[in-house]
Amino acid sequence: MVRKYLQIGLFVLIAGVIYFSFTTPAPQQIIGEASRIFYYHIPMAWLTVVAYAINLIYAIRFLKTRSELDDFRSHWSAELGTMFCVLATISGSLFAKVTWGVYWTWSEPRMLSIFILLLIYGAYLSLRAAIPTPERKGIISATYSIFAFPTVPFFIFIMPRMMQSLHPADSVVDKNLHFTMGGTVLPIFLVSLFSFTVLYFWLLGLGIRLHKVQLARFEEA
Amino acid sequence: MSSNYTVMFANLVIWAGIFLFLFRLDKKVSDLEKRK
Amino acid sequence: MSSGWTTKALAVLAKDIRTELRTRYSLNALFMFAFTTLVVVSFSLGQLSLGVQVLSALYWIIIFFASMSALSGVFVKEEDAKTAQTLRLFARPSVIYAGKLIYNILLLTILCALLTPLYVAFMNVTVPDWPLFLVVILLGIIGLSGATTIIGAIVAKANVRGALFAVLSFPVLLPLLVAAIGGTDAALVGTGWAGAENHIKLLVAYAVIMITASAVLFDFVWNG
Repeated sequence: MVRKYLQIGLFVLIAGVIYFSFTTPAPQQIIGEASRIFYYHIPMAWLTVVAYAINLIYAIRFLKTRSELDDFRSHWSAELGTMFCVLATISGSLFAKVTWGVYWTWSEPRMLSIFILLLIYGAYLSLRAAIPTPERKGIISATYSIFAFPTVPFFIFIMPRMMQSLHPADSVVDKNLHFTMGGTVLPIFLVSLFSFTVLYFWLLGLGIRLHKVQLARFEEA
Repeated sequence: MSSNYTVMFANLVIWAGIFLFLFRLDKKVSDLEKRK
Repeated sequence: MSSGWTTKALAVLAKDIRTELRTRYSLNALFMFAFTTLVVVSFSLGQLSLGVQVLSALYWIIIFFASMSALSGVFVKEEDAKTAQTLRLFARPSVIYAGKLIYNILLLTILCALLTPLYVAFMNVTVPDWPLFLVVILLGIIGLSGATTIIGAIVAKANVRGALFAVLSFPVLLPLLVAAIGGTDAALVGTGWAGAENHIKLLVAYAVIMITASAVLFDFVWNG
């Protein structure tokens, strides 16, 4: 029953993260208590990117193998990614409201990046919904995933550099964050990042296993 | 400071719930896999 | 081999041009949409004038929305007229793509050729740097067509085409819009080629990447 112990272990890790994230000093003194959200917000944002990467990898594989399973893997990762993306956007927006007084601003590059990912996920899922035939569904959506990808590095790497020339103040938030990742902050953050990543892969695996089982049953009938 | 503890306990309860759900789901899927 | 390729691509292009000249659906849709938007903005502003940055953004907003309303047509009309299958038999996917891409570029060039003078007139725009202004527009058109042609093929077989086309295009077009607006801004403010350098580099890179990616991926969309 190794699996059971691993799952319980994951819960212990996450419970630990929750406990220590609230009982240790806040990560960022200037912003204060609200900065605790970074323990959760950043892993969520990280996972939207990971999920998109997995979606992309299986999209490329699907175009080669044309295996329905690969298409499912791609689709399921996109579903999970969308969920994490929504959570990251909401948590980021709440944090922005508390820190800067606005729910949204276009001058913060991170907000822009997560917004782009949200758009791409939304477009991907809308596209899938709009195509009736299963074969075309997989091929077309895989193509779109690949096609939309070049936009992402643009917004994660190029935009911030362009914006820094206009809004130098925004880099302060990042600098401060990494600056104060000392003491208790770094270990809690890393454990959080690790645990949520494991959680994502567990959810990914669950969906795929369930799908395989359903396929096998369908074939029997 | 006490509001911190409220949020923390709320989080723990919610995540305990999520994990219980996932444990059961995983068990169900494992059972289905074994039957194959 | 290559002459066969070019002649076929030009044949696809010529067919589309001929069909379009007959009915002018796309040109009309593009132009009326763009012109109406321009007039509405100009009229509602009255005596007020817009800042330069708003002006550059406005230009590309008009082009963007006009494109969203009309550019999906290039493949949708093949599906509707049931000529898509014949087209598939006619030539290799890369040929079809090339023909359609150039067609879209032509459509947008005509649109901009008509729109730009009207825009300068209605919005009272002073353009210190006409060559830069026009180059940015041209690069923007190429990038826009490069990105949206394949998306037109993607939605041609889907259900809710119009809205879906915009939903799919928007994330992909954002870098283009950022670069084009920035470049137009530099042209209108007068910072010249130096000020626009980054934006022009981006526009060129975008066009190259999008057209290359489309050329590679088009086969999957077209033939499944």
